[in-house]
Amino acid sequence: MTILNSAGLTKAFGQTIALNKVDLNIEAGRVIGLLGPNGSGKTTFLKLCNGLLTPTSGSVKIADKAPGVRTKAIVSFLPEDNYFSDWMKVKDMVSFFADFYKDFDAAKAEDMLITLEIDPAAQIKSLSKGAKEKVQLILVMARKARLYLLDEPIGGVDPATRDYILRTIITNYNPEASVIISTHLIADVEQVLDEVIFLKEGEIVMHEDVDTIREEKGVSVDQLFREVFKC
Amino acid sequence: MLGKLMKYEFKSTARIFTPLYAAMLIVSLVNRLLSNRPTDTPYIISMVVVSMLIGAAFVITLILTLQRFYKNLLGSEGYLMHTLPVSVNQLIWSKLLVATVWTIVCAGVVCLSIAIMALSVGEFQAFIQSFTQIRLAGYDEFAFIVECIAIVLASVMSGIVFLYACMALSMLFNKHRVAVSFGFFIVITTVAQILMAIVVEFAPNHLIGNVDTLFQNNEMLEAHALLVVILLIVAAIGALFFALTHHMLKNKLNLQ
Repeated sequence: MTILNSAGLTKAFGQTIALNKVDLNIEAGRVIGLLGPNGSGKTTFLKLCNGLLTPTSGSVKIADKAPGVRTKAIVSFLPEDNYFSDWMKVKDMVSFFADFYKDFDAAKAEDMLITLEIDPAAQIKSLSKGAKEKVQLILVMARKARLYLLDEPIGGVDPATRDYILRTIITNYNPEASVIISTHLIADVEQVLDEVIFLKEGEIVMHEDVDTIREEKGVSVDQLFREVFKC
Repeated sequence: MLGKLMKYEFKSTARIFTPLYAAMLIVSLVNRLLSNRPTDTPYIISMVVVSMLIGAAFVITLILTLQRFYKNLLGSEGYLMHTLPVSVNQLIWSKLLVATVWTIVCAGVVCLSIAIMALSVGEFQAFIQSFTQIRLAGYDEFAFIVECIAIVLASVMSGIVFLYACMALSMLFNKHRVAVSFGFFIVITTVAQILMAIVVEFAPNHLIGNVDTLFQNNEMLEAHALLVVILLIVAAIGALFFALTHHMLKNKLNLQ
């Protein structure tokens, strides 16, 4: 079953084309790496899927629907930037998510906060940058969504937490759900990926199964990435 | 969902408004207690503080109205708000209704604060008395009060939604969005004033500026009609800006 489909998806900011005629089909139950150097259009693509940007042309559909109230109920999005109101406490955010998302599991979020040693009574303002990212990721992963869109989920955290996060991503989500992880830290995420999409200057240069890459080309995703994006 | 959005909107605004309004009322009370000796320095100081608080209340209400919309829906917090499973209508209404309530509360607290400082017992009794007069008043008087309240309410809401539209229009630009919002504000107000001047210039005389005559001549029906027309115009302007804001957030959203 197709969970995400884009056709001719294009986004321009003035003269700059951030995303150019992207055709993509993503099936349910897959973990996909959206890989590319900085400025290749990864974040633009994820924002378009969430309706945070309006396409210049083309379309994107999630479970056959354009981004809207119904897609937002089934998509769990982790943006790169921090979206918290500073004055809120961690536990306020947990109840905020519980209030708005039917698929949010507050108990699971609280467990994850304990594991990552974050005090629920702490004010968001008082947390370190890494801790804020952890809270945001916990909230996003504690949902039982059908599509997770994670923009640089491991960029700002230490390697131990990185491992925990990746474990969470592969063990916590429902097997019917798909996860798209945008990152340039390929070596770290390679182990959890089923498919990879290489984005270069707003265009898809490759969309392939990780197994196929390993078997047919005999290289790791990281090696392939270095070849494709050789400077 | 609208209820939940409003709950959080109240929470995030109340933490600023509640202490501000409480301070205003407390300082007014202190001022009243000191007013027996109006030449003393403490009284003068408290008078200055109250005046500053009253000014601050209006400014802060306005700034927070702008900031809650811009930061929460068009800024970084928009990433969260626009990925909630709620409609754009619900997002705008939650902001609009809460901002309207605070504007009314602000005006109410300012009146109360002035009353605490200045009202004598006799005046207070007269004030209470005036309510009994409303009760005794006829249909026309009562209808006028309702119409005037509706016009004030519609004006407040239209004014707020006009500010929202100016900010939402900045989505058309990729840079300098705060400046662009301000630019739209200036342009739209200027155009509106020019239109107004044209209307006043060319409209038949008996349609405008003669509300007094209507009352003096006891032409109640015309007076009601005039107020209802004003109400409809204000509401229509508000609806127009609401539709514009909705269109921008629904179809032109470009969060950076």
